[in-house]
Amino acid sequence: MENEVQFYGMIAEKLGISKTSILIDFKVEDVNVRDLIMDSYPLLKAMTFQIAINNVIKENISSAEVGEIIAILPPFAGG
Amino acid sequence: MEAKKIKNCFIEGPIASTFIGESIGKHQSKTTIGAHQLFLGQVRKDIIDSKSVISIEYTSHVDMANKVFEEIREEAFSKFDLTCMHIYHSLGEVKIGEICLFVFVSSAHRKAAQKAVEFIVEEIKLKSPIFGKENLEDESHVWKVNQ
Repeated sequence: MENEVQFYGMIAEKLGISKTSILIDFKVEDVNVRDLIMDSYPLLKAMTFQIAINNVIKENISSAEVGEIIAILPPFAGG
Repeated sequence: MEAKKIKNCFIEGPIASTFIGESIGKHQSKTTIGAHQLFLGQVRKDIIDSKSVISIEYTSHVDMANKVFEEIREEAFSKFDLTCMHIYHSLGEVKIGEICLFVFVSSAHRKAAQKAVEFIVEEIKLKSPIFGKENLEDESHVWKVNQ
């Protein structure tokens, strides 16, 4: 089963994509999403972003979170 | 146990002054309240590279932002002696001079309400996944980042 990846704001604009899906190979229990996403989208290496998995800010994903939404979030600008 | 329903705090477009006025009016029946404190965020006509901002287009990770608002709300109630509080934020285009954020806190006494609003606004700016595209007068744009 895959994870949906959502891109927001300036990141969605820069990459030209707002969502995709990835199949994560859990060779280890916790996989670093930042490394994984930057491998797939090298443009992100020059950008500031946070990662949320199932609406919680975190960097690592476990096999128990397969199917959850991964959000790639640029700097916030609310208010 | 039934999952707690998370309130949607987003309003499409600017927050109308009539909505703000009506919100205040709805609290007249809550007679334990002695103080209301409001924060209104307004889109500013910044000058960027000699070009004026004409509007901000807000997008958000809505589900996460509503969850963050709920967490901020719970923390505010635990820290301050509040009667009620409301947060509203715009989505979509908001022109300069229009309101994009409305925080409304009520308490028996003013100090709790004043401190709570400051806390809530700072938390919103820091933690809520909301993104703002500043549209400029020459049809270019830049992305706003909270300082």
